Amino acid sequence: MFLKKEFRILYLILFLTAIFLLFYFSLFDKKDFQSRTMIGKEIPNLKAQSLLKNEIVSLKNIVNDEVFIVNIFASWCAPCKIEHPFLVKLNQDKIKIIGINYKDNRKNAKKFLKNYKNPYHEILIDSDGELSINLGAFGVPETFLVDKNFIIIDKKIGPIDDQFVKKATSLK
Amino acid sequence: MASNFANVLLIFSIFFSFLSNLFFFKKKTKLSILFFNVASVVIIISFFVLIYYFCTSNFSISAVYENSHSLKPFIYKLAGTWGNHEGSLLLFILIISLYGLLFNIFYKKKDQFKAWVIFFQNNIFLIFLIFLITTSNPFDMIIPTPKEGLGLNPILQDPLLAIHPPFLYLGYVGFSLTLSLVLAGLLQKELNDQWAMICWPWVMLSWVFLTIGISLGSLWAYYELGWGGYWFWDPVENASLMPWLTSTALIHSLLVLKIKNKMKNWTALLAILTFSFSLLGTFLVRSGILNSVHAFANDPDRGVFILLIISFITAISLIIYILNSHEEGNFKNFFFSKENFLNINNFFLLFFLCVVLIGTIYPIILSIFDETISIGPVYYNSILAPFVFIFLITMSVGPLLKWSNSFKFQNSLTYTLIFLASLIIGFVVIFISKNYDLIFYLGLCSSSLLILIIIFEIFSARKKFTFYILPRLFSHLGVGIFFLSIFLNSYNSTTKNFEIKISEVKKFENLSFKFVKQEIEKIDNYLEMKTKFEIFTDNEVFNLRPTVRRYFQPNQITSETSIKPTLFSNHYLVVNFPDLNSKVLGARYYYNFFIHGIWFGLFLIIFGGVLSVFKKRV
Amino acid sequence: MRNFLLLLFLLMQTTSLADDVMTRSNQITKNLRCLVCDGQSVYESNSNFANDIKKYVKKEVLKKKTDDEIYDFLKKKYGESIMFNPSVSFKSIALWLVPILFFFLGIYFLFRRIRA
Repeated sequence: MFLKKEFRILYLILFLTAIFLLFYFSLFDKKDFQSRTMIGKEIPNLKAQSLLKNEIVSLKNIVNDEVFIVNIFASWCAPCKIEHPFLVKLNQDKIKIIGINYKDNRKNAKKFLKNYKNPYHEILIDSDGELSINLGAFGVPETFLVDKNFIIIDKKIGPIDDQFVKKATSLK
Repeated sequence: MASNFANVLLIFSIFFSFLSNLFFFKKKTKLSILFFNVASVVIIISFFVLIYYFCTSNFSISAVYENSHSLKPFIYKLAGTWGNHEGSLLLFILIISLYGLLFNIFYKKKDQFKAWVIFFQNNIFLIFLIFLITTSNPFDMIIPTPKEGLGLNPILQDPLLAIHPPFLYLGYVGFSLTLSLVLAGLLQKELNDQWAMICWPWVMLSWVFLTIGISLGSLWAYYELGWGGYWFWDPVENASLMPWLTSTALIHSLLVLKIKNKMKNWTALLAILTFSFSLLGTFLVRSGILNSVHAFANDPDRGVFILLIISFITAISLIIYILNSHEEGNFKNFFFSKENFLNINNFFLLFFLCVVLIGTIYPIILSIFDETISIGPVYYNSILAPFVFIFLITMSVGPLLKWSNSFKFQNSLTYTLIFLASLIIGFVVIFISKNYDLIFYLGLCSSSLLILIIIFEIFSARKKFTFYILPRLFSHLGVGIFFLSIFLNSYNSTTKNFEIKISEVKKFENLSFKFVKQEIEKIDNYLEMKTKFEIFTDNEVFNLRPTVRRYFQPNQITSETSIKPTLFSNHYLVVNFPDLNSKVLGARYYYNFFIHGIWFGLFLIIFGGVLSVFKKRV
Repeated sequence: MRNFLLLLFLLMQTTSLADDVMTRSNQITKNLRCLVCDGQSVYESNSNFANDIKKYVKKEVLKKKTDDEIYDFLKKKYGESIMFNPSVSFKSIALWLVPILFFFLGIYFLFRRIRA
């Protein structure tokens, strides 16, 4: 009796639903666990040569007691151009953005900022990826949202979007 | 403006597709088919419009802006049309409609069966077209129009990589028609030998394209990626292998249905499974579930939509199957009959499928529980290799058996001699290569057995030459050569990993490498380091010149492999240059023994398949 | 002459030291997974991520850090998944059990269709 057609359809629907849920959860789950290691941890006090000034700057000297953003970018990075308007908006909303110029050529980087507007309060040069590793980053663009106590609250791998901007402005 | 025109085309296509459904329900089959044809033609036009935008670098179109660049060579601008998510999805839909159109042209009867097939094909078409318009419209515009595009990634500018997707799509998307044929056959209760005859060329056509697509991917990986191998059991590779395995099982099952009018339900199930695995492959590759963390071009929301589509299509198909499965007698076959050995073939292919599926899906399942696992060639090779030899033996014996009859041992002396010959060949190779491995021996014997039996078949058929067995002879011979080469390559290749400085000589047992020359040249937007190595083997001295390129825009390093072919094998050298300040180069050398046999085997398999598409007789 | 020999000696030391650094670095990077690739190790990959990690590892080896110190730092930044552990045996049981189960199930269905 339990092999009758109606029951078989029921088993089928149950089975397919289970498979669907399995894939559904892994779709949203997978990204999270692999890249969230640094969330909730204190951001390292990055120290490097500034792109704009002729001196070494360190993160904790540039920001104090405020929510801020660290954004890894490069002039040769295509998605960085896509996310740029969102960075400009964040800047307009008076959120400090510290840029990490990743494996770039200084001239090209400055030209990029001239062409696309400069949303950065300060820019650190990362010529060999060491700052990036210190942040536990995977590539470019990558953006970190940091709170007043220098704890990393959130990050985005890839170009930022409206959702990220909203989250940042709501925490200000 | 321009893209509004293309959007209008898309909307018209959806509209015509809906009309086709409407007329189908009103039993006006001619109009139903007509509107499907019109909807298809409109999509074809829109695809050419997209090609035009890419080739003219029209950056007002978002997809062109993100994936193309005015400096790209023309051929890669063209290929860029399908080298992105939206464009390839349009190609996907195009192929669904193309197969429908072709079926229309070649199926001459004007019956209810045809109406049903087009109805299902139309709805698969419609579902994906709605998905395209709502989430992945290739004609979305970007305002204001950017001056230059973003897509100048050098790795993507490769001829093999450019044509590999269209072939794959012509393959696994073609199984949409197979699904439509099965569902129509089920609903008409007409799943019989005639139906199998009708289905046959469509299934074979898709299968041939899929095999070509997978082979091209493998060729590309070997010649361009520089990893020294041709297959890595990568989840993306596995995603295309799974429908290939089910469709190969389907072909063999169709044979039984064609000739003996048996295995109706099983064949129907295989056909449904094939398209479901095609869709699963699409999902796995596009949704970002398998990709690395850097999958920011993928959208989990799109992934959910695709998942819904797959679930829906699979559910409806299986429900139709359950409600319409045919009454079949409880027939039994003799053990040494063709039917039984074809069943055994299906069994092995599905077992291989099961292994590949588990290996691919298991990391996904584990990721829900926050665990990782690295499943690589070691797993697949160790679980599959022991069964391959049984598979090859049944492949040798099966075609010699008769239908519905137990094997009467004629010619048994010849077959025994052939069997012994294969054992001897195995021994000889083992002793020459000094590789005393059981699996290697079994692999050698079983693949040589297959090859020898086919040669014998060709020899004994030359008097009464039956043309219709030619396709099978080619393909099976191809399989034999393919596996023989894989075993030889697997056990007799060598790899050497080393670091070397300029003018240094690295010595190994029978081999030494001298790093002779190094030249750095700035070309356009990259720095190229050309190298020259002198290689000394026991018998000869030759040069290899691998290069490394360091691109600026985007910042990327690629290596160009240097290959010296011999009659059957390849000397293959890749170098690595991560640090501009270091004087030391990393190098990897592979001696790929008998690699050409692998490509030749694949070629024969494909050739046999092509012949089979046109096979009229049983 | 003595100075020349001393210079030669020092040069030889640096070259053999360089070899040691490379060997150790390579060993470490072979154990690290490239997190933006498909299963390649950091050693094998040419990606930006892998090259950055390779440079970092070499720097740390030059600073005489131990293997564990280097692994620990990277694990702190990227999680356990950066380590290339061969599959843990309990987890991988399903990998073997399910196909074997399927195999015997298939044999059963095959034999149902065989006439004695």
